[in-house]
Amino acid sequence: MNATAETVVTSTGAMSSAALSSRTDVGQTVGDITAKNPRMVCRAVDVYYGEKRAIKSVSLDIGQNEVVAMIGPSGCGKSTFLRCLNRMNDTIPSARVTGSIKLDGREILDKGIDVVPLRAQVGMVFQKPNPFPKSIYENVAYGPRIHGITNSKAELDALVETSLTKAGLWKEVKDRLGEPGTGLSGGQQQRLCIARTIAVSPEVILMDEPCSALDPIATAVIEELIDELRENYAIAIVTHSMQQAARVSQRTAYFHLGDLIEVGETDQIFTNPQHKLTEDYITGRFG
Amino acid sequence: MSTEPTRGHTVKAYDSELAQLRGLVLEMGERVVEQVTDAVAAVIEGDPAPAHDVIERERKIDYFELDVDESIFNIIARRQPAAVDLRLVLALSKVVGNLERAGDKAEDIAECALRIQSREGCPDAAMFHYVSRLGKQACCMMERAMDALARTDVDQALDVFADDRSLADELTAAMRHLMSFVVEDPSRLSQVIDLLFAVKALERIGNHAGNIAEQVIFVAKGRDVRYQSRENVIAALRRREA
Repeated sequence: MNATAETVVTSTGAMSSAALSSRTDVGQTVGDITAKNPRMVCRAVDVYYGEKRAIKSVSLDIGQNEVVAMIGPSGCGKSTFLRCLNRMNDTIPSARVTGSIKLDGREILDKGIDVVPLRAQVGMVFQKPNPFPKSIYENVAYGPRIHGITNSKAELDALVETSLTKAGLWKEVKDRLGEPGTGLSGGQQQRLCIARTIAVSPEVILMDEPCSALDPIATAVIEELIDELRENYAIAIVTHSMQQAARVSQRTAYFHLGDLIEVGETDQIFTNPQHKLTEDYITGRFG
Repeated sequence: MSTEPTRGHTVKAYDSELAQLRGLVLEMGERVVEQVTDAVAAVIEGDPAPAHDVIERERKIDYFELDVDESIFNIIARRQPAAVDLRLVLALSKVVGNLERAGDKAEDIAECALRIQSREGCPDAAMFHYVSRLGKQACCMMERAMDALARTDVDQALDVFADDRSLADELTAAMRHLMSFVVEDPSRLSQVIDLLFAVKALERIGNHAGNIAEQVIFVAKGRDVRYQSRENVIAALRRREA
């Protein structure tokens, strides 16, 4: 299927956007699905759980140096779509993914793809912090060690320090690297998981509600971190917090019952969404 | 054509707060129209009573602005409005500013009326011709703008733009007309100056109605049409609706 044929790419001009202010149709994505410098290019992606079509021909780019927020009500398919991006859905026996997802031009849905290095290139941070039951140091060092990223203990030490620094955790843990990762606070554990993801040199970072288990202060720290990570990575984040999507992302994608309804600059989505369903959702009228 | 959201918020109290806010602004609009009507009547009828009423009531208009600002402040802090709700709240903040200034202009007209009445000699009834015309037009524009705001009606808002254009022509005609009385009888200069102030104030009130209409378009379309050619805006939006 030609994905672009299904996509209505609108001008960002104010007058043009006004023309679509009351769109209610479903099945065509409103807005520009493309990114300026795409790392991941998804076209006509369908996900089936058995007979159920959970994602319906979704096309979307994830660009370098940008955070794409995926929002929508529970069951809309945003997490399912996110999990396609590093083939996490492979772990679900009934799941079947069709369409095309390319990482730097390479098709990742090909059966011959080794998902282990793929998941290093496309790292994931989950809703609940899930450090390994090992030391802080080992949590970060584990990935580089199994992927053979470093050649010496000194290199590994340096990589652990760099990763923890990038994750904004180094100063807090540098004197207790041997202590269990599970002994950290929730926010620190989540940053440890981010450090663990960064340590294997990913190109894309996926985040599935990374702050939903954190208090507002820890959330703010993670959000600041996401903004810093954007300088080096392409980031896709699923969040239930619309304020968080508005704060951290440059582009926002709204999902509804498996359809990607609208994509746009975050400023535009939160001030002047073009689709009625998007507007109803972000204004709290959804029901 | 109304572009109101068709569905209420899941949190009903939010609907109620927005409705109350809009209601407060609409009530303020009614009061301003009443002020303008009474101020014009005070000029034309030579009656000081409505002029004093207008001046006394002006403070209530200011209080409306304070109440609306407080309500907006609370809604932003507590509800973090987005999209059309955010546009509505921001627009209402600007609308009350325009209404407050229109209220000030009504007070200016009432003061003109008192000055005219305080001087010896009554102006010729013909001198009030354009005060009456501009007064009716300014009030009509303000009512139409507030109606457009009440229903988020773009067509009504565009009608106000069209009226704003003709109001400027009326002002030019009024000034020429009033100056002709000075040419005929230079002793009428003071009366004419006061009436010129009054017609200019009425034109400004019409302009404020136009500014309110701009905010209606912002709410409905998400498009900021301030400082743009009204003709272009009318042409573009009418064509789009057609």
